[in-house]
This record gives sequence, structure tokens and C-alpha cells, in this order.
Amino acid sequence: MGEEEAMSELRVRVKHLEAEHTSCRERQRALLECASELMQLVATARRLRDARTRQRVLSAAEEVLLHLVGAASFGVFEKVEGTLRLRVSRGVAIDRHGHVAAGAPMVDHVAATGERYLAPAPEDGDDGLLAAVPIGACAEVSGVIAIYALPEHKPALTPLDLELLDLLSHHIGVAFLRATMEASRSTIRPPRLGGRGGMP
Amino acid sequence: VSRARFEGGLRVLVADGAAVSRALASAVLSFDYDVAEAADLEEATARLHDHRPDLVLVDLGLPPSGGLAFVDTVLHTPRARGVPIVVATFDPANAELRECFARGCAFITKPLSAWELHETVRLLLARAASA
Repeated sequence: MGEEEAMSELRVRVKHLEAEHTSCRERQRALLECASELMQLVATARRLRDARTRQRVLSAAEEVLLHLVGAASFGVFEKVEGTLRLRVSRGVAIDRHGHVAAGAPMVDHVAATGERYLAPAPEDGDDGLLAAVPIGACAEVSGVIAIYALPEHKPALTPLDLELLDLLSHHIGVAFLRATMEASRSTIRPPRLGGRGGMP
Repeated sequence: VSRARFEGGLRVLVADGAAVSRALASAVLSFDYDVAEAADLEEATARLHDHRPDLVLVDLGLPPSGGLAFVDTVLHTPRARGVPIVVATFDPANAELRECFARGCAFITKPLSAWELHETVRLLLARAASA
């Protein structure tokens, strides 16, 4: 075999190895990203599971919205006697009555219907609203998670973000429901035991 | 890089006040490295001494006073001389991040992308090994 022929064969082999290396890295990237998505769901579920009180669930939700979803501006509302009250927020303009004007009609609509809202494209958001996800447990809408803005380096919400929002929605819904039940239980007086007409 | 790996694995210290962010970074990096976690400056400083990391990943918002304080701690620790530091931030235009650049840190944006984190750490460790 001549020297030129051997070199040519080597070049072909190198090209083949390079292509294989690129393909391996692409597979590694896909696997790592897939594993990372699962890890984010697990980390969120764990963080929420460890939050025992309503306030801690809200703190955990704030952490997930900020650090995993990466929302630059968001609000978590609770429905109290038909009115939405802001419980957690970041980067949102709030008026002196504690109301958020941005996207308010759509947030109200989501609270009333329980239907999720997603802006077709970030620039098409309804009055500055990118997404509004109903908070709920036991088929009852008890609030809304509203996303108003993402950082410049994050162009849009991803399918994983929506899964994280659903996970948050359920856990916050349970926390709200439990708080409401505990509040109503404390207003019901326990029956008096003993005395006239009491238990024997 | 490979020599250190054979000798017991390269070590990465993840210092971040947010549990979910820490868990994600730790899980992604633990495929390849020995990872220690810290939730605040005090813990991070303790881990810096007992874990002796080959690379530090620090959140710019590390409690209680921000990641820059830990960057300075690393830079003033003789045993950590030359250890690459990656600063994680939501805001690449942050003034404190510029301070970190001036101290020779690299940066990565939050929310963390698994692949970007993996590649940043790999390249910095390779560069540190060949220095």
C-alpha cells in the first residue's frame, strides 16, 4: 500500500470516528437533558413534600418559580370569598390596594373557569401575561399562578415548565384547602363532654 | 483531568441557597464528579476546607450576603488557589457579576441548563488541569 493510499484510508477513519464522537455527544446531551427534566420534577416534588405548612408551600413554590421555571416576574393568587388575593410575587407592579393590573381580566377568567391560559407567543401575551395556571385540589379552583415575564435569555416556557406549574398548582391547592378547612374547624366548637346531658 | 479522576474523582462544590437549584446542579454533576453542597456562606466556607474542591459553582444570590463574598473567600484561601469558579445568575447584566468577572470567574445563567452546566464545568476543569 502506497503512503498516499494509507493516508487517505486514515482520513476516512478519522472522519468516521469524528462522526461517531459527534453522535455520542448528541446522545449524551439528550440523555442528560432528559435526566435533568426528571430531576427537576423530583426536586420540586421533594421540596413541596417537605413543606409542612401553607406558608412553607408558598415559599417552596416561589423557589421553584424563580430557580427552575426561571420566571422573572410572577404572582401566586389565592381566591378568598370570590376575590383574588396576591400571596407571593416577584417583579410585579402592585397598586396601593395590593392589586396587580397586568393581565387581571385573564387571571380572573382563569380563576372563574379553571382553564389554563398560555400566550400564543411571548410577545402576544394578554396585557403582559405569559401564562396563568389555575390552582386547585378536589375539583375546586382556589387560586391562580400567573407568569408575567421571563428573563431575556429564556425565550419561552417549555413543556417541562408547564409540568412544574401543574405540580405546583396541585400542591398549593392542597395547602390552601387544608388552611381553609383548619380555619373553619377552629370556628366550630367541640361538643362539651360530661355535665348535665353529656356523656355518661 | 484523568489522573485526578483515577485518584479518587474530581470534586465540585455547589453553593446555592435554593434547595431545588442545588439539587439539580448536584444531580447533573454527580454523574462525573464528587459533589458537595452548601446552602449559605458559612457552610460553603466549611466545605471549601473539608471537601477541597477542584471547581466551585456559586449562586450570585448565596445567602446571607451574596455569592461575591464566597468568591473572595475562595480567592483568599491558599489551598484553593487556581480553583475555577463558576457564578450562576439570573441576570447577566448584574453589577456584582462584573465584579466576579474582574476576579476571573466564569458564569452560567439560571435557570440552569443541564448540558450548559456539564460543558462549562468540563471545559474549566480541563483548562485548569492543563494550566
